[in-house]
Parts: sequence; structure tokens; C-alpha cells
Amino acid sequence: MASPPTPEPPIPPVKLDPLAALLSYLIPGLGQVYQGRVGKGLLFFGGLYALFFYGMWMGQWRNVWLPDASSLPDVSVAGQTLGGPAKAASYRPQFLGQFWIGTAAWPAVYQYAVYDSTKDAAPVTGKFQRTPDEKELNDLQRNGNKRWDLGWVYTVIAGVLNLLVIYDAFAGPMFREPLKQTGWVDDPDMEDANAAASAPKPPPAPPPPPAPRPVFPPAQVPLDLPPPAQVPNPPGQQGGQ
Amino acid sequence: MLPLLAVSIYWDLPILLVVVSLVYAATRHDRWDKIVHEATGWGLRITGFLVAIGLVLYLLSTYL
Repeated sequence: MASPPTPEPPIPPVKLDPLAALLSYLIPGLGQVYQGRVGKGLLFFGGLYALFFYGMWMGQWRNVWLPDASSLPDVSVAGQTLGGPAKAASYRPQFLGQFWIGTAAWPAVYQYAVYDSTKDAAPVTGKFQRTPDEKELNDLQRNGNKRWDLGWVYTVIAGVLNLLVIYDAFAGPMFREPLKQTGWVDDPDMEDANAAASAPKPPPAPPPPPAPRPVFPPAQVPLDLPPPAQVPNPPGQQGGQ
Repeated sequence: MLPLLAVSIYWDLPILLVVVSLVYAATRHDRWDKIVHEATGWGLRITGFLVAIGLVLYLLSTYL
């Protein structure tokens, strides 16, 4: 005899977690660690930092920067003249992808904020993620066997991949599993829902007996009614067709 | 050694393949068996695509 199918544990509802998303932006995987998904957090941390810094190493640590664009020609987008960081990013659009790796790209923002063309290095970070001058940039691109260019591609890919990691921390993975198998959401409500779904259900109650049909008393027809009046046929119909 | 294997820039690709496959798969699943399964599939597909492109470019540059 086939046993009845066991009920599937419910899929946990999407629970948005802005704090975990922020943590995963700051350091890849930190939001997942905060949520208790330590293994995935370490995978994101190690993988994305390895890719980002490997790319920087390929570019001789000179391929992540946000340039000072104050002395460069204006840039207009949709009739609006860009200024400040937007103008700087328009001259180095790679940084729009690198930025999402989080704090690892903040030295470039710091270099942009404190940039002084009369000095060779910033006060704290030195030349790390500082805009290279034109001669150095030409040397890097000419003598690097294309590895300098491939390096910034790696850093951009690492930053863009961290956008997926941030979304994973914010709303969970694309294909969510029942809580029983993953346990990534520490939510007592979902544990209650799982317990209710996995608990044996009581047998169905027998159907209620049919209700007795109501018995109505017979209609009282008055017997002393006068007989119906004889209606004479219209004169045109007496002869038939 | 084959000239194709002597080009050093190709030796930088494995870390890209592994990281992209693993991280992308891990953002789609929470179970490790599914993560590894999907990452393996993506790694093989990307590797096959890059090998095919590299082979075509090598043949074009050698015999054309």
C-alpha cells in the first residue's frame, strides 16, 4: 500500500536585509557571515578579493583610480554638464565597476578627494590607487604585454560580481530552499511554519450526518371556494381554421 | 611547447574562471551540492567557449 506523500517544507518568504547588503558591500561576504551563512561568506570574501587583488597585481598595482578631472574638458550628458565625481568617472568609467568591491576601492576615492598635483603622493596612502601620470601610464600600457589591461578587467569583474553578492545578502539566493535544508534565515516564525508543516496532521473528521429534511404541514386549501368562472371564447375563434 | 601554450596571458584565466563560476553559482543557490554542480557546469561552458575562440584565433593567425 502506497504511503501518502509527505508535505514539503514551505519555502521561506523573501526577507529583505539592508544591513547585510551594506555589510556585503563594505567587505564581500560579510553580510552572509552576519546572516549565519559563513561558508558562502568566506567563499565570496576569498574569491572576490583574490580576483580583485590579482587584477591589481597584474596591472602592477596601478590600474584602480579615480582621476582628478578639474583641469580636463567638460563632459555633457543629456544636456547636463557633469562635475565632481561624475565628471571624474566619465574619464575613468572602469571605476564605476571597481567601486562596488567596497572598501578595497576606497583608497581611490580618498586619493581623488585629497589629490594635489604639486605632490607625488597622498599623505596616508602614498601612491596606492593614485592616478598615474601620463608617462607612467604610457609605460604601463606599452611594456605590460597586455596584462595591465587584463588586470583592470579582472578588477571590474570582481566589483560587478560583488553586486550579485550584495543582492544575495539583501534578498537571498535566486533559487531558495526550504529552511530545513539551508537554515540561512534565522527566523523563529519560519521555524514555526516548518514545524507546523512537518507535524503529523490529525485524520480528517468524518462527514457530518445528513440533516433531517424539514417536514412542512400540508397547505390548508379552503374547500368552500366558488368554482372558476366560465370564460367564453372570442367570437373570431369559434369556427376554427 | 606549443606556441598557444607559451602565451603567458592565458595562464591568468583559470582564477577568473574558477571565481566567476563559483561566485555566480553561489548567488543562485544555498546548498553546497547545487553550488558545486552549477559552478562545474558554468566552468566547463566558459572553458569550452574560450578554448574554441582561442583555437580559432590561433588557426587564423597561423595559417591565414
